[in-house]
Amino acid sequence: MSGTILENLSGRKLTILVSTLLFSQLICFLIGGIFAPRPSSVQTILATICLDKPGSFNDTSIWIYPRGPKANCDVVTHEEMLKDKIRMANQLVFVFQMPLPREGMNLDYSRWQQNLIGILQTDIAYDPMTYNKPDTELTLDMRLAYRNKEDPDDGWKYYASSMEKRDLHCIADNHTDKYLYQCDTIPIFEMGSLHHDYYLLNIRVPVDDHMKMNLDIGFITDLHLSTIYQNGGFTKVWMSLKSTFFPLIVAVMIWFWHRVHLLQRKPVLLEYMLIYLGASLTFLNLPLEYLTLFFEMKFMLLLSDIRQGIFYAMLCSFWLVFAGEHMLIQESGERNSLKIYWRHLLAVITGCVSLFLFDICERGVQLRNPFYSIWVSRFGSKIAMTFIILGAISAAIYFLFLCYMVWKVFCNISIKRSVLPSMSKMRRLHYEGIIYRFKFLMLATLLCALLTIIGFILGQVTDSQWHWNENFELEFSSAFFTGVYGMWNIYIASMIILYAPSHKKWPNENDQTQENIMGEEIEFSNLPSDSNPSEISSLTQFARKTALD
Amino acid sequence: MVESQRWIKDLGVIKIIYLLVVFVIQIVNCLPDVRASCKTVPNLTKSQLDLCYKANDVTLAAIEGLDVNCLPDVRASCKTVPNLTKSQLDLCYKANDVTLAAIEGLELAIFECQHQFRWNRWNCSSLKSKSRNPHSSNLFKKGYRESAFGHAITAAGVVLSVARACSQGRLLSCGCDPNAHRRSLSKSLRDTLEVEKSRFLDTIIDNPFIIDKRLERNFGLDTNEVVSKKRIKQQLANRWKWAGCSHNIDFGVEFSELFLDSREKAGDLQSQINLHNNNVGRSVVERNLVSKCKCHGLSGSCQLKTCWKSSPDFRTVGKILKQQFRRAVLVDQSNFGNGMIIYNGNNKRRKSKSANFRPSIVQNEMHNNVMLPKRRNKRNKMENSLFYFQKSPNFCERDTLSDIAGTHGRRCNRNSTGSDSCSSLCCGRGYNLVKEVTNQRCNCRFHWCCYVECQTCEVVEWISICN
Repeated sequence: MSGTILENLSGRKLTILVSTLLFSQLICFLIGGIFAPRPSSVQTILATICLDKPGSFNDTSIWIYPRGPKANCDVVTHEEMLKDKIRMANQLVFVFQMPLPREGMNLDYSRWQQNLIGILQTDIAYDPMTYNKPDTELTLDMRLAYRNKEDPDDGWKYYASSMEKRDLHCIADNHTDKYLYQCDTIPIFEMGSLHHDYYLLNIRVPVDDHMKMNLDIGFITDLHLSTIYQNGGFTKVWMSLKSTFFPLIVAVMIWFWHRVHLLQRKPVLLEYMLIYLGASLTFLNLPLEYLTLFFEMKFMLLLSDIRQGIFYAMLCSFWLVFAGEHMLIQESGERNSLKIYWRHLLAVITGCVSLFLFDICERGVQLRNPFYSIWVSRFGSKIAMTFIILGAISAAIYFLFLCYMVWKVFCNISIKRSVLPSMSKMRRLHYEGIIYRFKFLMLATLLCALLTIIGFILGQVTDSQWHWNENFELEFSSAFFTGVYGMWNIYIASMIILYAPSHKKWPNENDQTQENIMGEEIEFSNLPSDSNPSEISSLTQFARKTALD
Repeated sequence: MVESQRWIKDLGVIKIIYLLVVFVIQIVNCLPDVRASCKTVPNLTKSQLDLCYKANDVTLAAIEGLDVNCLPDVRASCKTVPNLTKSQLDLCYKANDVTLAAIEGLELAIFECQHQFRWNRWNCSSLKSKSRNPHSSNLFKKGYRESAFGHAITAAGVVLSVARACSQGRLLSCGCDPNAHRRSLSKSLRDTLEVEKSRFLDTIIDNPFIIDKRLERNFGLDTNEVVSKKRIKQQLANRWKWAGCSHNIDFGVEFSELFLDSREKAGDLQSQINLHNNNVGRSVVERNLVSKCKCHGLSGSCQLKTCWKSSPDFRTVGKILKQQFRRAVLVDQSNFGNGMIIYNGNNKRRKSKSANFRPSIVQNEMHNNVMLPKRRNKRNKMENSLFYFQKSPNFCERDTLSDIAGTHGRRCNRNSTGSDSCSSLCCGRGYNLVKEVTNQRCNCRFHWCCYVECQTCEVVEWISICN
């Protein structure tokens, strides 16, 4: 007989395999926890307030920057601003030069740091002249420039600019006293690539009566820009994981496909699904990020979203098909196609497409304008919410479908089990083994999902660093990422290996020792779809047998 | 009434003159800038200039060896601040920019102190009057509640000001240690400070661009040392690229300890209490960091969440310290022995050590000796409250010996019954009503870009002033 490797593997070998996989899983977790720094760091930059240069209103070649030999910033102090009754409105520029110097060195961004996200925090003081509404709209004129090490000191080049509106929500405990309002942070920009060495952000706060801009905002004393970037160390660890898994998974897939083609039948649906799943994982593993070290690829954030999206969609579809293929109910011969799953897969596809559309609307537009956010306009946020709710609904439907199918499979298995004692001994042992291993794999899937969810919740709840003692500390958020990433890789690799057709016995399928089993299998080998029953996964055979029962 | 108006006018003139004088002094102070002092030396290469900016003092000393003298400039900027101790001056010469930021912090602290105490009899003017350094005030040599508050708020001011200068990019030498565990646990404060200082100055002074052999010789460094320092610098750059940098507040706290705690080496009750109060000020800053988070995972979900701490507003810190001021604890002189402060009625002892307020260390202590929650609370409370050992005077009358300005000429609130009421603030001497007329810009219309049209309005206000 033949079947998948899983069925033909002895208990001892299976134990060794599983423990090896668990061990490599642990290693993935520890690599993230011990070697990698946290996934991203924050540098908070306080704006240097400078006097604006004439003509900068519509000339985007004027850049004001505070550091360097040719710095052209006339610094305005708070005292000077306070002396002026109108707080020097329309005369100021808030300047952020990134990154900040540290330890006596002018630091520069490394391309390993991948991306940059800017969040603005406003320090707004009570101003007797202007009433500060709790909810108001802030209009900012933002311009971003870049410079590289080899450029001259004043060689700032235009990167992007935009006049953006942001909702500002503030609360004040004490209106009359000179306390600052407590305002929410405002997302400012998201850059998918950190290609250049230095960046410069000039922010102006235009006040205009005619256009009703920034009229009901108090005295902006300071602007703080928190810049979030991926840590270079994390990128390196992540990339080395990717570079390890990529060839491994490719090798496993080639081996698997070779195995399938050695058979004389066409590959079955489950085998197709496995190879699709492997392909989507390979696409996720593909270490494209190496290219960002040489080229400016602004679309990396979008691309990584798409890659993850494709992988998750594939994983979800695989589970559906996996459960469906073991449903033990047989309608007709068209079992071997995706068509009969269209209703189930519709949920996955709807969810993915809606999230993809949302991503295009947010990160796609950010390719052109890094200051853009879909959430700022009322219409945009409605559309975004629609997409997200649609995604959530399809996720819920999918989950219900999956649960229903798995429950059905288990029902059928228990029914089958009740008739097991009436079978011959060899056949019974065989079926029991299959059921046991099917349950085993369901358990593995559940365990993986559960571990991911638990890790995610722990990461949200606890502090990112775990201290065991003074010397040993575990960076949990990195460990979570590498751990989960390694886990799904190992999970899929083991699925592909264990579900590959076994060649253990099929060369001598006509042996006398197998006769009695073959004899029983002859019953359903006459089915039109089964031209060569001995080469089909015996689990599927088992399923079809039930249908006949 | 007419007389008092004229008096106010006179006061205005005096104020203008005073401001002018301060302005001139500031110009004189600011001119001997580090950069200027470096630029005066002709024919320096770019790397040498760079070195001069970063390690001004040392470079200048080296240049002095080359018979060019621009040394007095950086010294002058430190010398204008009176009453710095020797170690503070040392720090000022070697880490000029950071020290100047710290001194700005002292000024900021006085400003905040004046705001918090604007309706009290003591309004912080005794710290302001003399100079830029509140530590030169006689009040700081006393053990009043007010001096405790002064110590705490100056320590907090230095932390915030240095952190602020760091995040503005004004200081080249801010620390960058993502795993800041540099809390040394050595017994003696003096040793700790010396070790910290030498390490601190090490990171500031060494420079990867030392190429010139002559400068090297003048530094007294051999090539191996230069190479190893170069390697250290490289490591620093890699560290930033690997794991980013620590919070600016860490550096601020470190420098505040270096700069202020070095004053209190005497080991008597006074300096023990000053150290404690400095720590209270710093810990108020540390405990009031505001946590902010941003989700930036898959499609902007919270799959990946990054959180950071932003430094508190100085006004908030001042407000909390003012509350601590009201709850300050009187420490009895008789309870003082062997360099430890012993609390009343308790046999618990607390070593006055610079490292005592780090949350991690406090936690460690708690792990070590299991205490009842109630007692621990009390102990924590003690650690966070201000200490004083002298009863304050009433601050009504002028006393130049202890730098008390008295409440003559202070503004008071006629309609209040609290500490800002005229009866309390004027100590029963009565008050005058004065009409104050100011011209202000009003009804402004803004145009982007770039002009503003305003009208001028006259604002009349009646204020009451203590006799």
